[in-house]
Amino acid sequence: MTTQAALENAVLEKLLNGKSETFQILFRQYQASTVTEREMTGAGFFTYFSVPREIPALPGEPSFSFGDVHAALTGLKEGAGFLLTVNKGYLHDLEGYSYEEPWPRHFELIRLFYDKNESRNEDKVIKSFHARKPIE
Amino acid sequence: MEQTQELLQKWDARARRPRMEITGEGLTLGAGTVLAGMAKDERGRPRLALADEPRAFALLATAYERPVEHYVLAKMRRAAELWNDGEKALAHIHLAHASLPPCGEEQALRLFVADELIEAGVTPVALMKAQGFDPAPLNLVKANFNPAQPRWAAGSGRDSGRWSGGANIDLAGVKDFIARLLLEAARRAARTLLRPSEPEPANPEVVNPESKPPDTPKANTLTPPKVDANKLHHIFDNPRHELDGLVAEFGSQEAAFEAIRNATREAIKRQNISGMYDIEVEVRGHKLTVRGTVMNDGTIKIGTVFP
Repeated sequence: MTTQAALENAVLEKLLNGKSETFQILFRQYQASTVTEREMTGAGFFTYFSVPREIPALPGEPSFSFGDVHAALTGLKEGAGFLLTVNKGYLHDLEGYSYEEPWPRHFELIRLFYDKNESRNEDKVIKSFHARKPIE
Repeated sequence: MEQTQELLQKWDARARRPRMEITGEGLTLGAGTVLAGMAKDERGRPRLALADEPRAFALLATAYERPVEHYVLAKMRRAAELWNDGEKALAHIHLAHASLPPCGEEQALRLFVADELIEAGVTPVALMKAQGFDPAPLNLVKANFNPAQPRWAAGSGRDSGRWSGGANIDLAGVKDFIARLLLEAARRAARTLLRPSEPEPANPEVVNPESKPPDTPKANTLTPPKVDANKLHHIFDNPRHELDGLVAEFGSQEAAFEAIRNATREAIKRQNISGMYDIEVEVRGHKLTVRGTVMNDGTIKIGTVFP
């Protein structure tokens, strides 16, 4: 059985696996982060992070969301998607969601994959970032 | 006062919550009946406000056919304080400790009707009296009574025979009215159960995922498609999704979800998308990003929505 925390770590490592400065900084934040809150909604989850302020923020302190990682999980016929939100240059929360299926209480992570099973184009991913309103 | 059928249509469209739950709309129970509304503080942060305790007390008494214990309101009050302090989990623990019985279909319908009656101008006192409950306990919870709520002045005499606020049903008819609605709701449920060969289920995408894709969207179906309450909670109750305005415009999370689904369906058709999607749609002027998947049979599933 895969634990919720193990799933989140695997997703974050895949999401933040990149050579560009953006992914490198966010990955360092992930390594230093702690989980402050986790809400299971029954259709997915929201996990919130705290990153020590001595870890550098992304230049310009942008706020955005992205998520090109998907999961095949036991208990979810259609799999799951994820959305990582960065607030003012720092990791803020990871959202996991099902496609209108109940989120399973117990599951096994089968595999994680990028959009359309393709290899990842970092520039394309960065261009796909959705700008968000900063949280005060 | 809305007619029985109109009320029942409104009722059908509501998702059910058997336990008190704090959502973007406030402290809700049953068919999304708001016991305590969500307000905004001076910094625009949502604040749960149990501003009208007599109303909440009368609603719960109607739902459970007897006045609830005062500690239930005390727990609700404490839950609101904790939620406003950011202690969401603790707030829900206090609600659980209120130990209200599960709000089943019948209780939820009573609650819904009581809310509609108060909305139409019936006072909590009148609602209590009409059902044969002693309204005296309302005096104990009047400390937080909202003076803005429409009500007749004491001794005006109007409370003794008529709804306030222009409604025109005798007070003695309240019990009958609720009973009539319950009976009609039961009949409708029975009719649905007795029609196994009904050509189209309420939500074909969920009920029969192996079916052929529909040729045209079923936008004109009379019964609103049922949407999983957890999905609605996931999408609409997270403040970061900022969808309260959209829900307010559509009147319910279900209606807002269906509007988003329809807009997504149109966009997917226009852009000829298959598989996973991440698209922007506009719903009544709200620009939203919708993520989801188009299944092999053409049905559209929504994962998440954010502005």
